[in-house]
Amino acid sequence: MIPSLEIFELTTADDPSNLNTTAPIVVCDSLGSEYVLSLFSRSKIQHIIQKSNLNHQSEIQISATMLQSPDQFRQFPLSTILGVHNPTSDSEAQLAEVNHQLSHPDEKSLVLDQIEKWVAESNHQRSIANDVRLIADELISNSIFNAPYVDFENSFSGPTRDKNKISIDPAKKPRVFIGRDHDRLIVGCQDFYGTLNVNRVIERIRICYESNPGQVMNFGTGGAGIGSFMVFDSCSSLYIAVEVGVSTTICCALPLKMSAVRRKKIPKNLHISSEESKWKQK
Amino acid sequence: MEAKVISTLQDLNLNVSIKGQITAESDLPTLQQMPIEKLVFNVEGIEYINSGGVRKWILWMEQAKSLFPQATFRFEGVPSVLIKQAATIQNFLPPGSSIDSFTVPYFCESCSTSCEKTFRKGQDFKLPVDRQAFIKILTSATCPTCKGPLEIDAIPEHYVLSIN
Repeated sequence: MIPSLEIFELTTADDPSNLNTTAPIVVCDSLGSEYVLSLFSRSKIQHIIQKSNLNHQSEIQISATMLQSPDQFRQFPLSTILGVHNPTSDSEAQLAEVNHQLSHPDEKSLVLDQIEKWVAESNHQRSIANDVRLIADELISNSIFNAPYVDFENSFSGPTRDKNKISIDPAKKPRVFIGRDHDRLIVGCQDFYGTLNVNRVIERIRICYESNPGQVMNFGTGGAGIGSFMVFDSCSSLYIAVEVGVSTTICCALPLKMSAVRRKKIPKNLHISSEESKWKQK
Repeated sequence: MEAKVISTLQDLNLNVSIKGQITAESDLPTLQQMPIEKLVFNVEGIEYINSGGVRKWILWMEQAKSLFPQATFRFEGVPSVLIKQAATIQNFLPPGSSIDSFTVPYFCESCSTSCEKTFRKGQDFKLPVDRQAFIKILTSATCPTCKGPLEIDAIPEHYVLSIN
């Protein structure tokens, strides 16, 4: 059952770059990545769902949960995305086929190797294993190199990418997890800082599509600045939930049982749950 | 696997073989100025690259280009992970450089076999490639195990953009 929430259905007659609606959910079809990002950046639409993505009804349900019970999504991201009714810690643990908490930056490459091996052993295409590794890599990097060190405006990237110069607070170990159903594989990462500025990150990805990632790249210290673009470009649905100062949860869905070409053609869903986006909306 | 780079000088040709993963932590060696006419990068063994690796790679290529401005840059055995970046990110491969050969991954949906095929310039394709014909060549392959049709496990358009 979908709780009563206003849903705006975008038609070909609407100009996605200049949409005037207060609905938190927009349902559309075959909208290009740049426009999807633009709907959030410019119109502050938090949930953009494409009919020709995998199952748009279940995506509407996820949107409803993220809007009405954001704590549920933050606590049980895999259960929420994979459609478990009344999720619990047990359901979340059962779904997490891969689940790591990182205690030290050195563990990143070991965890990534394990993830890649796990995907490869699951008889998925090599390109899936590579995309999953890339997404996990970029999300973990964000959680250990950026999240603890950036301000809420994300006015600068994390100070260094040298794992020997940073440490992980034992009380705030980031968690990387993977779950799946028959149709999709979910890769996620959660940090306990809640410092991701979603407006900034989405706008940055949008600019990568509008111009070129090579022009957006940071050649100075900190991150390269294109990791978020690479993550979004590699998945079919991106879910971001930020509780400012508390946690950031990012999940990506990758469709299974289809060729790399078909995966690439799937129009992308975007789900954002952030107090910050609400502030900007007001 | 960490990146491993082996360079060998033969007459006026510098051959650079790179294997493993390219990340922000990869140790891509500083090249030395010397009289070089041709740089040949064999990159077949590169398995993975992330955002930090892309930045490292571009800076390394820029350094090589500034050290050897007159030399031709050629790439052999370019894997799909690099083809994707070359098609997406401006100047990932230095302007004027050429791809002499590349590998394409395939997957058999019937028997889950994964395999790769190498395409060589002059032998399997000629420049400039005709988009439609080239994509047809890339996407037509037979599974070595069950003899069924193989599915290309990459984006054919990326090859068109990179090669041309």
